[in-house]
This record gives sequence, C-alpha cells and structure tokens, in this order.
Amino acid sequence: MNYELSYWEDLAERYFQAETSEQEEAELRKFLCSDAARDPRFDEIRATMSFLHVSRPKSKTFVMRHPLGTITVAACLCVAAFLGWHQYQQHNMNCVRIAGKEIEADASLLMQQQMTEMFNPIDQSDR
Amino acid sequence: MKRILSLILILAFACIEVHAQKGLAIQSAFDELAAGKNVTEVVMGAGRLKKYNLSLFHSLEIKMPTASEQQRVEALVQTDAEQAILHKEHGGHKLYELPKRGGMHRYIFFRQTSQSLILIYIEGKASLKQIESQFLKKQN
Repeated sequence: MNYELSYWEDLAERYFQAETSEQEEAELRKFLCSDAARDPRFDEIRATMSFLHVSRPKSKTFVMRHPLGTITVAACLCVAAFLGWHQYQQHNMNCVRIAGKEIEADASLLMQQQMTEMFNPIDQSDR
Repeated sequence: MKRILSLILILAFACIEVHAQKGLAIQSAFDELAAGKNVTEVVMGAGRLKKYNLSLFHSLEIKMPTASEQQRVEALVQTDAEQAILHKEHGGHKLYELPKRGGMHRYIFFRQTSQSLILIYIEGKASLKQIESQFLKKQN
C-alpha cells in the first residue's frame, strides 16, 4: 500500500478507462480513505467512487435479522387475516334473533316489513 | 412491517362499522332488551343492504311492550334526539337524523303503539328522501 502518489494517479486514470481489476479498485477505495489521498488530484476519483458506492442499489434479498422478526410478521399476518375474516362476516351479517336466540329467518323481509311500518301512517300499520 | 401494521389498523377501523351505534344511548336498549321475551332483533350488514345504499340496519321490535320497556326506550331515544340535526314526528312515528359520521348518514326511527315498539338504527349513504321513497314504494 505504500506506493507513490503517481501510482495511485495512474490507477485512478485506469479506473476511469475501466481497466482496473476488482482488487485494484478495492485498493484504490482503501487508499482514498487514507490521509495520503487528501491531495486535490484525487477529488474527482473520490467523488466518483463515493457516488457509485452510495447509489448502488441495495440487495433485494430479504434478510431476517432476528428470529423474533419472523414471529412478529407471522403474528401480524394472523391478526390481519382474522380481522379480514371478521370484517367479511360483519359485512355480510344477516341475523335475526328472537329473545336473544338466533333463528333461521329472512332478515331482509323483516327489515322491509319494519321499514314499511315505519313510513306508513300509524292507523294502517298498527297491529 | 409498516404496511402490515397499516393494514391491520384499517381493518380494525372497518370492524367498528357494525357496532356503529356504539356511543349512542340507544345502544343500551339493544344491549339490555334484545334478550327479552317477545323481542325480535334484526341486524344486517352492508353486504345485504347494497340495494338500499345502506351499510347497517339494526332493529329491535318488542311485541306488547311493558310500560317500563316503553319508558326506557323512549328515554334513550330522547337522549340521542338531543344531538339530532333533523327531527320528524307524525302519528307516533319519530325519526331523527344524527350528525354524519365517517361520511355516513345516521338515522334513528322509533315507533310506539300499545301493540308494539320498534326501534331502528340505520347507517349509510342514502339520504332520508331516498330511504323514504324506497319504503313508501313497497306499500303501493
């Protein structure tokens, strides 16, 4: 790593020509982090390499950092599934209870009957 | 993770829908009297009320109500009537339109005779005129 600055200058030039190997690029990166690279001659290469490093897309592979994460996600999915099912049930609720006990009856028929009674004069609908 | 939590929250709020009359005094009438003798309770969710443009229908019909039942329900209806934005009454029928909640109209219908007592809570996008026209048609 104790090369002359001219070596790094040459390496930087080759980097821009896309002639460097991965190992050389790694060395160059390391060098750019050192005090010796403070020379303004390396500003351009530093900026370019920094930019490429920052803008490199992150790996799309999902990495589970902690096993607790798996449990949390599973629990959340279970809760979501339950709530979805609950919501579906309530959305399609159609229930008639007599004296608190659910019975088999047509709720929509009862609804129509009650609403019709509600909107009609009392003398006609009173039973 | 944030997406999952958001989904759960949305679903949780949606679940509140059917218990929409919670927070109103008449909820006590449904809770206390639904199990009584001669009482018919009807609950319908949005899936069954699409053609009426409603999202909830919850009614309680008491045949031959006792004096205490009549007084209890009437008092509860009166409590909610205080926040009503519209009040119609004719021939023993009482109709209250409550302030909208979540973009939904909310109505309480109450009818009392010596033979029966009907309390209805309705929620949905339909206006009172629309509801009226739908059920008046059925009579003709």
